[in-house]
Amino acid sequence: MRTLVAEDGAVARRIIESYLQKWNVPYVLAENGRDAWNIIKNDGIDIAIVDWVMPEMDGLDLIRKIKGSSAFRHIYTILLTVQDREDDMVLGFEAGADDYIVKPVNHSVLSSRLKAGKRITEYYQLILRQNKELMEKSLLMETLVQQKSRQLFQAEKMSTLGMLAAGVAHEINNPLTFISGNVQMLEMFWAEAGCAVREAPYADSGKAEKMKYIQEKMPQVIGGMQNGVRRITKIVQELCDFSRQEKEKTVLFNIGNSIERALDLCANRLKHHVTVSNEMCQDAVLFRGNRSRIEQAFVNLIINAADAIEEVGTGSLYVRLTKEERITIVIEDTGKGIPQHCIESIWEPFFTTKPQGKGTGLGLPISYTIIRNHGGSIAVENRPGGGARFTVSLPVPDAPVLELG
Amino acid sequence: MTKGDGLKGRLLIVDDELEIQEMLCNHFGFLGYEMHRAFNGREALEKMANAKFDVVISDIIMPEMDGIDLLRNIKQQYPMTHVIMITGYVKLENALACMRHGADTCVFKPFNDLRELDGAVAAALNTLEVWHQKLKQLHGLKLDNAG
Repeated sequence: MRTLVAEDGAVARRIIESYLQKWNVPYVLAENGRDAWNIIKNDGIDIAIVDWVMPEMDGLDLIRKIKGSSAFRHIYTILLTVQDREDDMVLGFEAGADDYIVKPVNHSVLSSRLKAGKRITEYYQLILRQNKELMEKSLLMETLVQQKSRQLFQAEKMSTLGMLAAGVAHEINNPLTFISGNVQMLEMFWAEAGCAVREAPYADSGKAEKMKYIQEKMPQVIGGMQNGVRRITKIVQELCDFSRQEKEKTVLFNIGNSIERALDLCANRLKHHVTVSNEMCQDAVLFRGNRSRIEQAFVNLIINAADAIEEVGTGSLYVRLTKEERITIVIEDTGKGIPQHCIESIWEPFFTTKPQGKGTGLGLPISYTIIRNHGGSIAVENRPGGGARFTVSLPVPDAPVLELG
Repeated sequence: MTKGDGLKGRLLIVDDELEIQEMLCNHFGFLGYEMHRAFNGREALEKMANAKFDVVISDIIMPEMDGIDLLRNIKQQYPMTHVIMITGYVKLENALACMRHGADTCVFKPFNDLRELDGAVAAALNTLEVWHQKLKQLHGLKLDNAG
């Protein structure tokens, strides 16, 4: 506790100094109020013993100055006074003094008053420290709350969309069923009737010409409908995948094998225009979760990369698996990359930059949902040399158990 | 086997969607089957009380009585009738319920290839035909009312 003694009387100052020396209290001396104020401003003072009557600036003024300044208000002030009258005491306390000692200074009184001051100063400093920590913590909490609420909002949106998607998929599936069936029948009927329509004798040549045209074009008409049915079927299937949230059995499995299986499943989409390379962790990396869902997440990311490469012609796909504190899977392509203004939107359901009819905008959200449901995360960035890099991070399973699923 | 009128067999389509009923009736009618239809399980059982069917093709989710209930009832009352389930709501529990209660198979909507359904119906009728022949051989009798 660094203590300031502001006392114009040399004898009194000397007496106090000797006590402080004896008690090993670090101290500074001042002969008047102005010197004392300068010391306070430049020297870290915890306790100030201030004489009432001093030249330049008296004790009451000095205390008023200390207590009036937010930087020094915390200094514990003890007023030295010759008067022991009630109204003087009130005057001193009103100026802001924390305590007072009546002169001549008594050894044990000074000791106990200083101890009390030290105690209070320590409490004060503790409170300051704790306040600071609290402020930091509350700032951290605020940031966390913001982050969590963003995540919750996203999760809520996904689950609402999931329910909506399931409903839509189911509603579309019924009409799709009879459209699909009727188109198949039309194809079958036409196979029987087409030739007859063409070869039947027609009275006028205009009619015969028309029938010839119909016979030629009908396969295209039917093909167009079949194409539409196929596309709707795929969208409905993806909507179902997207909304599927049933509790599925989790197993412990080798995630390297899953990546290889995903690459195999995509082989047809890759073989013509993509060179594939990978770098797998030497040891088997085990993960606990739903294996087929995780594979689907990888398949979607790989297909996405293949499509991005297709738009620039040919290119390469690189997959890396590492395990440290978390399991990390990096999937990099040399495709067209993601326009910077779209990079936030690519996880949004139905968002796609692919040509009309090519993508449903559900592949990446499905991967996102699967990985998130497994306690993981996916990050995306554009590579400096062009193309995109997806980084999947998954938690390492808790206890290694000997049951390979 | 309800033969004799030149048709390949009697089919009952059960689906709450009229368009699907019609599509399947047209399709199997073209292939030479005698077609009947119902909108739900209860109506199907009413029809089955009055006439014999070789194969019932039933949806799962329907009002009044769903497809699983219908399947259970058919297997109790008409064990010789084959049941093929069709569903758009592909869930493991549904497929397992169909299997446990003795459905021939379960075909998922939308039918990307109607031939899967054709095959299931033909297989069912084939099984019935084989039994029919066996019983004929055993008794040297005409067993039009077997089952």
